Amino acid sequence: MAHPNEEHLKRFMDAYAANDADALRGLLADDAVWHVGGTHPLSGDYRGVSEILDYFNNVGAETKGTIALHPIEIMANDTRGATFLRVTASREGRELDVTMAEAFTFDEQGRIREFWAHATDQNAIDEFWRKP
Amino acid sequence: MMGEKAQKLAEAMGLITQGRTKEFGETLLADDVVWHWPGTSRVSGDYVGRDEALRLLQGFLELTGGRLSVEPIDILEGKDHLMSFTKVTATREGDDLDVTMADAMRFGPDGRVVEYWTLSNDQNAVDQFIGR
Repeated sequence: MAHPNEEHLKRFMDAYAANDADALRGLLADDAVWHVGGTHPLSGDYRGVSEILDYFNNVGAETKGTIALHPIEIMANDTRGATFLRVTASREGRELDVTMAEAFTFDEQGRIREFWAHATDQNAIDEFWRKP
Repeated sequence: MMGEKAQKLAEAMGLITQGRTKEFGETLLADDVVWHWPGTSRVSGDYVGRDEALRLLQGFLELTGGRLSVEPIDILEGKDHLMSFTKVTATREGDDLDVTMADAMRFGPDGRVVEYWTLSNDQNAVDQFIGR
């Protein structure tokens, strides 16, 4: 049987794709930290639910809702999780199609406390987010 | 219970702590492995093939040799993937490092790693430590 935190990661990805702020808020720890890698305008650390939701909103607006997450494998235990997924999106006539490896930690209630990741092609992501 | 992939990783890590880098590569890495190292340090980039991957590893070990403490935290093992969490610290005057790494691996049909991502929750600190 899947660990409850695997279900939390699936729900998180569904809520992210649907831009469901209420659902996302319930899946993030109050003091969550979101590390966005790379050297593009959105790279950096987002701290706390409100900053993280603003970042998600920004991604949604910039990609006009085209960002889609295609899970390949999801793993989790009580304290940590991992997702491997394909991410596709379009923006300003550019197409993104990369595979990501993502690491998570959870608090005692199974809410995401920390996130960090790397892609198969970070340059493609940096180029995708480059200012027009 | 430790799964096959975690066992393979433990075996390979044993070799590397003995300085047996080549055998580490032959044990863990497929011939055509691709290793993605994030950030903006002097070793950041994509390394294609086992020889290139070992060149990355050798370069990393030379740059950090004897200065790192790597403490295993957790391993998540799925059907095709594994993620190994470690606490990596180094104490040296004016040059401290304290990060959580997540080594993400996709295994191929011969039971060796075909894709490897090195994820850090503080890439900037890692880049500074390695040197840009």
